[in-house]
Amino acid sequence: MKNGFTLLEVLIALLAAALISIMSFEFLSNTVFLKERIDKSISNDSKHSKAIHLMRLDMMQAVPFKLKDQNFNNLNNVFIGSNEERILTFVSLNAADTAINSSKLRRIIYRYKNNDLIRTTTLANNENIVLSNEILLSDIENLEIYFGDGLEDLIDMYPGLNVLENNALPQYVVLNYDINDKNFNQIMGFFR
Amino acid sequence: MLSSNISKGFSLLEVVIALLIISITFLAYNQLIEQNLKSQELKQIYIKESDKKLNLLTIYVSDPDVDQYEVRQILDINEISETKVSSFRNFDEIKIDFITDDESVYITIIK
Repeated sequence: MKNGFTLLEVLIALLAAALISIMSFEFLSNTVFLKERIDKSISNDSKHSKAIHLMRLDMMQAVPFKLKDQNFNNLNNVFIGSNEERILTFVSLNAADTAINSSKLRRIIYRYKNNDLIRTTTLANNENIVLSNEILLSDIENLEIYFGDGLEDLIDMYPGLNVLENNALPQYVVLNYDINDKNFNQIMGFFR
Repeated sequence: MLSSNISKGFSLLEVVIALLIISITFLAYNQLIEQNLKSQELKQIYIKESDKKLNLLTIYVSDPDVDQYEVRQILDINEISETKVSSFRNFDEIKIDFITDDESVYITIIK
């Protein structure tokens, strides 16, 4: 130690270090990759479950409240569903919202935009006052949504084009989508 | 011992043992990660099964007399069988089994 290392000793040490690094690199990178994959999987599963449970809860607490458009004109419907950007619009009880002490009825709007599922809440009778806006899920692909009062007559727009007034919520809302190349099929109900 | 090793250097055996310990640590870490991955895959299966049960419960709570053919069509189920578990006044407790190619789930409802 006092005399230092010879050139040969240093070279052998470097060679040994290089060999060990090469051998362990693949192993370590694989381990790191696995860990990242697991962390991502846990996070995605958790977000997915929360989003679907929130949708189910919104539908279970839905009320047949007549909707008005942004100019306060009557829409003569309590529920509007389509396969366009704005997939679901209805009014639901949001008991967890403590922002305002008055009514807890909220207009719930679900949008599907740029592969994101977005949930917006506004005052039930005034869509212009937005209370919350949240991206529930990202990277959703091929989302299709169907509505119906029976499983045999599902349609992609509720109520249909020829229906001018509808005071009922659909019995079923069926969502079909892909996340990370896995297909999911969710059947939700309004129970009203 | 340590001070004598620093001044004299380590023997080959000591270096080999140290490398062995490091290797075992890496292997153990890798095993833990792999086990975690396996548990994630199991969780995915559980979530899928749970989603299927929720879908079925939604259908049967909305309409307990739903046509079995419609349920089979929408959820790709091969076979549905109903077993009456018990009765209370006008209500029946029914266990319904749903069999697909790779799994079987059941729900219990009141009719």
